[in-house]
Amino acid sequence: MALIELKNVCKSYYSGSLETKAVCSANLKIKSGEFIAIMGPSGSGKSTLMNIMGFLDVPTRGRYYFENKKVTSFDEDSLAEIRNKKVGFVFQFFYLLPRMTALDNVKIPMIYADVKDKEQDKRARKALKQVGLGHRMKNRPNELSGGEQQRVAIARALTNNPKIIFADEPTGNLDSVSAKEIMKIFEKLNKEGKTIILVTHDSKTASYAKRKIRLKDGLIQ
Amino acid sequence: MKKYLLIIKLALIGIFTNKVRAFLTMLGIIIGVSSVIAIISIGEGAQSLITGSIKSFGTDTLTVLPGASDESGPPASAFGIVITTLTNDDAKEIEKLPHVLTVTSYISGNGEIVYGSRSVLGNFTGVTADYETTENHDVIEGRFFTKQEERAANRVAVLGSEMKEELFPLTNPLGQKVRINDQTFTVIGVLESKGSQLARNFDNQVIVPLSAAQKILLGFQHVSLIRIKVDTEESVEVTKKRIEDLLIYRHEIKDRDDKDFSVRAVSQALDTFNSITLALSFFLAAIAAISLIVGGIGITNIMLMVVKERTREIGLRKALGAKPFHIKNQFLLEALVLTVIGGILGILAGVGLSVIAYFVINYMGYDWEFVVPLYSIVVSIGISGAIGIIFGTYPANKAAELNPIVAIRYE
Repeated sequence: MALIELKNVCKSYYSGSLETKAVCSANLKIKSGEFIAIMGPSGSGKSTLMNIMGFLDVPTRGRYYFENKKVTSFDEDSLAEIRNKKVGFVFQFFYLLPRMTALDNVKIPMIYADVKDKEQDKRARKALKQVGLGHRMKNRPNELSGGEQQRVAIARALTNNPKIIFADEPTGNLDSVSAKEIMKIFEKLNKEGKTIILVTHDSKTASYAKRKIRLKDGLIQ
Repeated sequence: MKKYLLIIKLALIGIFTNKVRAFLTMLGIIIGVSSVIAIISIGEGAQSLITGSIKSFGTDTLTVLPGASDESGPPASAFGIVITTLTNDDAKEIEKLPHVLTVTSYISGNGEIVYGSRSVLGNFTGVTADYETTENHDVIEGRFFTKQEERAANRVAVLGSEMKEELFPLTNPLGQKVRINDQTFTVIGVLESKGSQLARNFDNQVIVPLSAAQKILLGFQHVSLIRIKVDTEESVEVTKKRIEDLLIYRHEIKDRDDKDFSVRAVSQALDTFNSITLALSFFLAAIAAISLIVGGIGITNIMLMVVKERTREIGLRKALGAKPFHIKNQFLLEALVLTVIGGILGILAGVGLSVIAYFVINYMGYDWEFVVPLYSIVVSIGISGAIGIIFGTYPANKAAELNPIVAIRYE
């Protein structure tokens, strides 16, 4: 059974009457437990494809099945819920909230999942330990290095125990040592059973993935 | 609940990191709320002061003034008109009417009042012997003059408490001779202090028999005021009518509209003052309302800015699973925190203003009561909260409607 199935998915942007196809006729099946790298030069539509699969964006055409349910008919609240419970995001620029400690940042997804306070604390601490940041929980983002911030972001992606983790250029803003550490974490998570979908233009980063999907001008090659 | 506490905590951190901006944003609310508090406090104080002093005039009393005048307007004498047709004989006839307990006539003048080397430029008032009963104003030292002394125009004087302090700060005034416009009077009593009431203050007066004031000091026969005390408040209206009929007859007036006197009851004055206070309150409340609306617009403005500044945070929160109502609640709550803090500062400022008013007015010699009613504080908090919700809704909706990927990429 496929975890994700895209059937003829298109995403177009309109500026006036001018149509720009970011993704076109995408057909894709992803099984649970896969580690996939979506590759391609900038502007190839790889982020758009990830946003659609990550429920951040809706396709203009085609159908998207997640766990055999047709996502394309979901309303905004259901999409928020599915983002909250089924997927985790890791972004290039970490996107941690500057005024909160690492621990509080990790708790954000659980706030929207109505997880009880005690449980929030337990899970957030566990996730931070999992990414090797057990000693930096009370630090704010500006007191952490880039690699550490990205690890907080990964911990944040893990707390609601999602099926899939989407990572959009997770090493794009890191030095090679930190980048390697981060990719090791993804590798470990994949071994533990998480489906990982990585968006990158860097072949070194992509080499950790077991399957590569190449995009060019919105088309899967 | 905890997640709202977290949002409140973050909002507070935001406010404290942007203290000046937050303060300027809240200024409209602070001014509005502090005026609400001060209006209510000063309004209640004024109300009780005015009602108190009008009531101390006696709700069971009537006043006859010379000259026709509008029922609730200023008396004819205020326009400099001197009417000499009202006399103590009128008072004596009024005393015979039913329900009437006591009647006192008044005439006053001013001049130099001297004791030894001390001299005061002040007022003297000639009254008839029932003064103590009509005014509820008692002698605390010595005695008041009798009906016989009054009729005989004896040269006796009763001092108001302030006048006593001025002329006899250390010595016992009883039996001493004072000179009023070069006429010698013997002090026989001192009145208790009553404080100033509306336009009158008997504390700084010398009270002498009416006949003595008319014959010795002033040289005329009319009176400037007649005060009547009736048995109950209910008989005020009917007695007023009877006094008018009596005086119209005695003064041989053919048409009621040509009256050369007017009779007033205290209840009318109360109504007049109440309507003045009410009008004033509405005026001040309108100013407060304008300030609050302006403050509210300030809140909308700042919240729109905050939403813009934190577009990426909103996008991130949505990516992490926040539903539109989560985002909306977050920003509404932030607006609410802002306005309620503004409201609390406004209450403090308003109480401060009321305290200042209390000291200034007391310094001016009025017996002013300091009141900040609990309801004014509850109402203020309610108003601030309502402003937060009303003026925070539009920016909060804007935030809730943001598209997550557009928002997260926002620079």
